[in-house]
Amino acid sequence: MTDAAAPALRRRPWLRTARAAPATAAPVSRDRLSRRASLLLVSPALLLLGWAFFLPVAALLFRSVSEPTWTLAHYARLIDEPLYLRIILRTLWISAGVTVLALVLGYPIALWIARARAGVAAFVTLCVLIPLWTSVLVRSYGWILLLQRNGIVNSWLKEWGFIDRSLALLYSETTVLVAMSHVLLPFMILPLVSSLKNISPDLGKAALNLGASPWRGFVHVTLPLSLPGIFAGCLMVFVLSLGFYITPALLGGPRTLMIATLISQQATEMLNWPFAGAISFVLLALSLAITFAFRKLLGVERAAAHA
Amino acid sequence: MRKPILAISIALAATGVPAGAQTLEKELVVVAAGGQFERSLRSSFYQPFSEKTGVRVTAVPSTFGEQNAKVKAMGEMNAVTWDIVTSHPITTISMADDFLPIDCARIPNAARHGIPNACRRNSVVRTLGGGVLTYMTKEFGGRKPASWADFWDQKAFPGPRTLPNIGYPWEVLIPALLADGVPKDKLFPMDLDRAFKAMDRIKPHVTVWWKNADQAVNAFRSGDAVMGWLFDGRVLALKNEGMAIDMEFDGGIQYTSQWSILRKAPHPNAAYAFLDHFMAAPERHVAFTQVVQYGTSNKEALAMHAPAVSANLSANPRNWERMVDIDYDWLVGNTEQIIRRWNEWISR
Repeated sequence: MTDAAAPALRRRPWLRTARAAPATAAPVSRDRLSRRASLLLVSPALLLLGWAFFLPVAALLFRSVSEPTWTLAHYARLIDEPLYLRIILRTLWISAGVTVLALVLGYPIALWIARARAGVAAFVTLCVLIPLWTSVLVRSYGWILLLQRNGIVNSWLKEWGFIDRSLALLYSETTVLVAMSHVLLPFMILPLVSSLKNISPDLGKAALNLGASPWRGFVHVTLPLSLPGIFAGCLMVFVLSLGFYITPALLGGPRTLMIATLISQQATEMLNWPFAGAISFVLLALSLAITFAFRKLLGVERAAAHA
Repeated sequence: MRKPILAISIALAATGVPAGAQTLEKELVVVAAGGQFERSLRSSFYQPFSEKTGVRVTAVPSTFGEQNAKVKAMGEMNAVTWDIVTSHPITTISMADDFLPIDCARIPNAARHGIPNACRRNSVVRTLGGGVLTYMTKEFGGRKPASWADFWDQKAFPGPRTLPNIGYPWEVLIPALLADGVPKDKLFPMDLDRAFKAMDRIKPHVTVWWKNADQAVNAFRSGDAVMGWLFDGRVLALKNEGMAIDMEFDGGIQYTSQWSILRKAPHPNAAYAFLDHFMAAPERHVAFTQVVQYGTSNKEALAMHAPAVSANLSANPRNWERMVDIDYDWLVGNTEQIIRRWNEWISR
């Protein structure tokens, strides 16, 4: 257990999972398929994605510069009208808030699942997964029932004598943050669990054995080793938040107008597809840039953690 | 099955259209709102039509915006699979390229049984509704708000309001102008500066800007709002349920829902036959209205309702004429501008 080589050996699996697929818990097999065989295996999925996803998206983006003639006018409009910049900033801000909230709420649960006995872990995992199978619309309406003026929260607060008049809990930025974190929480917890499970419990024991407090052991051993999970979870939650649509529309006030709403407005109400394409391009570029930045950031932290 | 087809052919031949062109296709695809609305359309109109003609009707549920986007995509790709869609006076102008100009001679029942102007350039009127001033009747000490000016008056009628934020801002800006004293016949061209100034005054009192009508209904149920803008059919449904809610038609927005045939529809003859079938038989319209709470374009049906029922329908001319008839020719050139200002205003 105190063998110094053990942590070094243990380090590898997560490094590998971080590069390949942070969301999969399965240990990577030694007997790998040849490159050609794996390409062959993924090709049906790639073809389907290419034909049903990449091609239409590319066509929409192409229209944003080619209609009515070759032009950048649609992009100029995004800059000229202050509304769009404001909404983009607000979308980023809400997404960042949701990501932080989901991380803070999700990490302890993930740690619990990773460390608990098999039966308990399975039960908690099920509790995380079941909401994931429920429609976002239903979960958003659930929040309305909880938070409306004569909803469950207000009537309890009144019954217990905390308040005399119902509070306006719905239709604010806070409501949107809370409800979106709830909806996206599984996307944070699942990658975290898989990354935490890959950390040997022996490492924590070794830290204790060497005189570290449990907190210090967590901060210096578990937390850095779970960075790939944090990276994957944050990235997924952040990028999904950027394109969120239903929850802000139902639970937010008009001030929580987000960029996806603007895209749908242009696509279905104004039928202005070149402009919808231009806004979509900005959303896509933002998502890609953020993915890239996250990777860079993780690279730096990983180096620091092992310096 | 044979005889009715023959009867139709004879009827159509009698209207002067060569019978040879009227061979009905086997199928018809109709797009409208889903849920209860679709079920009532099915039982009142689609099924009887299929029984009479043998044409199989496929009902496609869709929201209005999504439908229009798909209509446009289908037209561009030259892959139109729909025949009849839902249209609105504004889309019959803005999407005129996608809709077939209607030959009203092929829908003789529209002139026979329809309200005036039921058959239009590229549409046939389906239902008549309205966006109306709605209020909880027990909130204001027995007094009733009578106009949008009362809606704007927080002193006389205090309490939270709900208004739509559904992509058609003029439907709220018009009440704002009326509240500010603009007479009904001077609304167009709209004075947007004046409208938004009036909106500034009501904004602090609006608790719920609804995205779909269920939210507004929920706001009234839960007390999140005591006054608002809502579709008359929704208000009627709540009223019939026993809720202390009522509406004022004066200054409401006329809502005409229409059928339109797509220009490249794969089954145009069946589409024409269906629209003609739709306009006939008032008893089917009565049954339909009883479920969906909206009056239809069949003038005989309106007279067949109990007076207590027809008094509450926006299709009743007494109510209809008190509502605002939007100048769509002006509006269609200004929607972009209005939506831009609205987004700017509402997101502050």
